[in-house]
Amino acid sequence: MKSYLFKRLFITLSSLFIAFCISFLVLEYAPGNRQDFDRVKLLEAGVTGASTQTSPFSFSKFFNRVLQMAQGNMGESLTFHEDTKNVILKHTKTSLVYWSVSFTLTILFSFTLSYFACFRLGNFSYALLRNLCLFFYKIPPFLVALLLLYLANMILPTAWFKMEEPTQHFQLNTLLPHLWLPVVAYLTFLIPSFFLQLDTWIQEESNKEYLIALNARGFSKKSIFFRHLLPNVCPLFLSIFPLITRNLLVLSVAIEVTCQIHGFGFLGFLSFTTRDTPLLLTLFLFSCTLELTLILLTDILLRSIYFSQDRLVHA
Amino acid sequence: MLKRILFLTVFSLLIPFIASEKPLYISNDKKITIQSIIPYGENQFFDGQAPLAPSLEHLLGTDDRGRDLLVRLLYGFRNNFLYCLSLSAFICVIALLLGVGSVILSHPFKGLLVLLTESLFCLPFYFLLIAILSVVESSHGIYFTCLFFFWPPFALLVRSEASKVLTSNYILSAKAMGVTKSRILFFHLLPNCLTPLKAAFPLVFSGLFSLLAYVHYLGIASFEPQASLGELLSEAKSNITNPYLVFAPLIACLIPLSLLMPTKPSKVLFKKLQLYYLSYFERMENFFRQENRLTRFIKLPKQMSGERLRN
Repeated sequence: MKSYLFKRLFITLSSLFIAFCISFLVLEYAPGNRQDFDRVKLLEAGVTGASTQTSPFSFSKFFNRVLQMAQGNMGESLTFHEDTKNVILKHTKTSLVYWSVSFTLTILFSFTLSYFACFRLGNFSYALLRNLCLFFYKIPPFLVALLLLYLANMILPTAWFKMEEPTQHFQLNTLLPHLWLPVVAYLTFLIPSFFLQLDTWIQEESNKEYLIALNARGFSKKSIFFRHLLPNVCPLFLSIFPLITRNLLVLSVAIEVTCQIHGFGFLGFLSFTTRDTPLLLTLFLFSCTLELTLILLTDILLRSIYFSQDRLVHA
Repeated sequence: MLKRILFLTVFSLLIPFIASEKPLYISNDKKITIQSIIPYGENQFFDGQAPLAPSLEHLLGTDDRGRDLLVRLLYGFRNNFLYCLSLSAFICVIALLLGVGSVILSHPFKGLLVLLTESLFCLPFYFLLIAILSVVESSHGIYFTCLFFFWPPFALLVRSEASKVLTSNYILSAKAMGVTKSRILFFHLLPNCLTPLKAAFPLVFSGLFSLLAYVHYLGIASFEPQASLGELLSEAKSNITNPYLVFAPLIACLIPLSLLMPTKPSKVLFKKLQLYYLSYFERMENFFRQENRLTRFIKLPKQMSGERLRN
């Protein structure tokens, strides 16, 4: 287990290093880099004689950048004229609201559906449910968001889905009426993915002998599901939880652009359109660190579950 | 699955014959001209207040710039499909070579390849793509980013299959018989490692298709002046009250994604109808032969439970 942990940490650090190298090269040497920006500032200030060429690569510059990042200096956003960390934190607050609502509803619905799939549905209904989940799993959520926006335009008043002023976005009372659109768009992807995985585990678990014995002894289906099946499946479910949450980061860009919510994903889109390279690359490093942490957590949880199961079997 | 991909490829190659501004054939004396079924081009503009409503001339109407929507959809599908097909093929080849290489190469190279694969697997691909496309402003940026960063999960799949194949009995006996390594590699290892890739190819393709539509929808990249489905979706967002502009590209995106799904919903319905018309004994036989999906929790058919009680 220790060697596995060290191996995973080593891979995580190497991935972070690759991500940092990419961000450094793009920030320092790509067109529209920091040096070009500083040059434009000097020209605007009327300073003559500024160098028009980008300085060549040097290791000292690379290590200085590493030190700056280690001290928490991620640079200033060219659009917001503020520290990039503060900008990201403000916008992430908005996204966290509807992410948490989506997740809670996903867990409730997926467990309810798995209970019905286990005991209440016939073969045909169960197969139909699984095929529907597979179908919705394939549909990109931004298409669902677009369809919902069209339906909202037809049916609902404008205030229910149009967000015009960015200043309102960080206030919860003005944000809440607009949450339904991104939440529903997320649910069409998250519920099928959670349900399919949960159902597969429940099927595997339900063929075990202790459950057959419980049923033969006359235990009710509800007690079998809630007192025996679920507790055995929950650790596995928790282990893929971090892996599926990384989809939130990916999907947030298109959904927030469609729904006009100024959250984490919209910030990424805005930084791209305004070529705000420091902000874009801070976002990239932040999402990279978060994803790597989530994947490491998943690996450790899965490994500890199977490790403990192996120890029980061999004992 | 291969047949569906082949059908879609042939269809996309025939689209210039279905919809084209220029005639397909003009005789030498210019008396005979053969026009395509839809005589409009991808970038042919029509007069009138765009977007025009559907009519006999324009079956789905026009987009917000006055171009025929059906033709834009066909060409958008064609451009997206062929782009993703070629990219998926290259990614599968890279995944195959690197996956097999990470198993058969000698130690330092093997370790480096495994480290590279697992490190790239952990990078947030979409944000990386956005960061790279902010610098490389063309569709080539997507192509090369996907070629460099999209293959790791599939290489890991090939690697697990290759390590399983290498320990199988027929490979061990081939080695014992003195078969050369290159022969084992090209005649046994590579063909057997194609099996998981064949299963994963629809996933690669549908992932890339969604990615391309996603990127073009956001406006991060485009095929301008050529059509693309993502661009049509972006126009749909700008004209959200127009149902044709919204539903047409939506359905055009969903058709290839659903065609390349592994299961067919129609099979379920057919099975239900089949069961309804079968005789009692055939139904019992099917009941006992079906997969063990919690059969102990499912109620037995009434006739059968009655017989059991009598017996």
